[in-house]
Amino acid sequence: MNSRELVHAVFEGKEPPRIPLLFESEQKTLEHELGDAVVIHAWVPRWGSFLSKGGPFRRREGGDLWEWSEGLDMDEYDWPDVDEVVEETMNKVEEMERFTNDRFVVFEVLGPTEQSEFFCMPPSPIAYPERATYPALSRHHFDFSILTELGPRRGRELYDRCGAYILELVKVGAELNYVDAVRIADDACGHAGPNYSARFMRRDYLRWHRKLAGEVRKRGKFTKLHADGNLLVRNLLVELARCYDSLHPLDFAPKATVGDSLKWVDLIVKARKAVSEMVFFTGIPIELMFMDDVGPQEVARVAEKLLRRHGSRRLVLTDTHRPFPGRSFGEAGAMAKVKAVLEVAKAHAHG
Amino acid sequence: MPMAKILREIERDVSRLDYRGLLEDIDRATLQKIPAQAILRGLSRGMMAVGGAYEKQEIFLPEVLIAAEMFERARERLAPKLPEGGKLGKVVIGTVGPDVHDIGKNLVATWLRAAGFEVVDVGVFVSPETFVKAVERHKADIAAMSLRLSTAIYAAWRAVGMLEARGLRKNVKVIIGGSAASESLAHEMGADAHAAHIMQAVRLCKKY
Repeated sequence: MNSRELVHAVFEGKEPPRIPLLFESEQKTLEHELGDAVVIHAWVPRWGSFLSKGGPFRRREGGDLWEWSEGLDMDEYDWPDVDEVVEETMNKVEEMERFTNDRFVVFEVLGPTEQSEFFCMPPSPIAYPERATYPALSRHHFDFSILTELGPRRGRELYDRCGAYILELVKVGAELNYVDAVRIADDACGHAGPNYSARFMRRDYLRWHRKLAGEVRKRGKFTKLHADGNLLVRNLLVELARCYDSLHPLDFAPKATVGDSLKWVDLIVKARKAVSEMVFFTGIPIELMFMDDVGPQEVARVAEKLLRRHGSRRLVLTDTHRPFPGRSFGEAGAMAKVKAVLEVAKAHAHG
Repeated sequence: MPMAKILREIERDVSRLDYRGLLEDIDRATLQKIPAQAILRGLSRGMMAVGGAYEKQEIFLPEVLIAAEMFERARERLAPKLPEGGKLGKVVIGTVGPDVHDIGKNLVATWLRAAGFEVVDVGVFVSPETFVKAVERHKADIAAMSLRLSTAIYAAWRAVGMLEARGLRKNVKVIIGGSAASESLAHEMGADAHAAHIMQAVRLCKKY
C-alpha cells in the first residue's frame, strides 16, 4: 500500500497498516519526503499583496469605523475576470505538481472568510521584502468581522463575491486527476469560539462552506476544512462535519508547553466523540517542534498519548501548522523530533 | 438632564454599541460642564459591561472591537481635559518577537485604559531588548506581552530573563496573553500570570 492508498484507507474508515503522516511545510521537498500527503496551495497570487500593502477595502489610518462601513462601495474595486484569477492561480499550482507523485494530494484554497478579511486588511505595520506573500505575512485582522456587524449588507456582498471566485477554483482543483482532497482554509474562531456573530456563522459561513464542500463531493473528492480555534463552541464542529470529511488542525486550546499539549489531546478525544466519521489531521503541536527546551521524547509523548487515547482510525498524524517563517523541519532539533514522531507511528503500526 | 442620568446614558451607549448616541451624550455632558473624569467613569462602566458579556460569551469579537473603537474615540475627545497618567499604575504592553498580530494587544490596552491604568503600547514585532528598555524607561509597574505565534513565545521568554538580569523583575509584574500563551507557559517562563481574556487581564493588573 503506497502513501496515497494509505490515506485513502483512513478516509474510508479502515484500520490502516500504519498511521499516515503529514509534515506540512513551505518546503515541499521536505514535506514530500517526510510524509504520506502533500498540500498544494491555490492561493490567488494577485491578492497576496493585500497582506503587505493593505486590501482594496481597507480603512484609512485613523479613519472612522462607522463612516468606513457605511461608505464602502464594492464596485470601487476592479474585480478581475474569474477565468483570469483561476488561470493565474493554477499556473502557480502547476509549479507544485512535481511533489504530488505517490502522495495523497490536498488542493488548498483560502476560504471566503479569510479572503474577505484580506480585502479589508490594513497595510502591514512592518515592511516586508517585495516577494513575500501569503505564508510569511499571514496574520489576522478583523475589520471584515466588524463590517459584518456595522454594514451587514456590504459584508455579505463582499463575502459572496469572494466566495464566487473560490467556488470556481474549488471546481477546477477537484477535477485534477492527481488531487485527492480539497481543503478550504478558513479561520473563523479563536480559543474562545467564533470571531463572528452567530448570525454570520449560520447565514454566511456555513452557507458558503456547504456550497464549496458540495462541489468537491460532486466531483468525487474528499473535503477538508482547515480552521483554527475552538470549533467545539456553539456546536460548530457538528455542523461542519455535515459537509466536511476531514478537519485540520483541531487547535482547540493553547499548546505552548508539553503539559498544555497533553491536555489538548483530551480535547481532540472529546471532539472525536462528537464527530465519529471525520478524519482528523493533527497530533504534532508546531510550537513544541521548534521549542529548544522541549526534547524529541516530549513531542513523542504527545503523539503517543493521542494514538493511545484516540486510536489509529480516521487519523493522519500532522503538524498543527506549517513551521513559522524562517523555521524548518530541516533544522537538527526539529528533525530529531520528526524522527521521534516517526518512531511513535512505527510502534503503532499493525502491518 | 441630571449628571447621573447622562453618565448612565453614556454607559448604556457603550454597552449598546451606539456610537452616534455616545458622541451626542458626551457633547451634552460637556455642555453641562460635567468633568471629563466623570464622563470617563461612565465610559469605563460601559466597557466593563461589554468585557463581562464577552467573557460570558454573550457577545463575540466584532462587538468587542467596536466597543474598543468607541472608547478610544471618546477618550481622544476627552483627552485635553483629562489629567495625564492613570491612577491605577503604569503598564507597558507589546507584541514581542517576530509577530505582527496586534488585535489582542490593542484590546487589552484599551480595557486597561478604561479601567484606569496608564498604558504605554510599544507596538508589534518588538525585540525583547526594546520591550525591556521600555519597561525600564517608563518605570512600569506591569509588563504585558501578547503572544499570538509560537515565535513570540521564545521572545517573551527572553524578555523575562532580561528583566531578571537587569534587576527590574522585583518591581515589575509580568503577565502574558494571546492564543499561544497559557498558564503553564507563564509558570515555565517565570511570568507572574497568564490572562486568558481581556477582563482577566484587567483583574490581574488591578490585583497587582
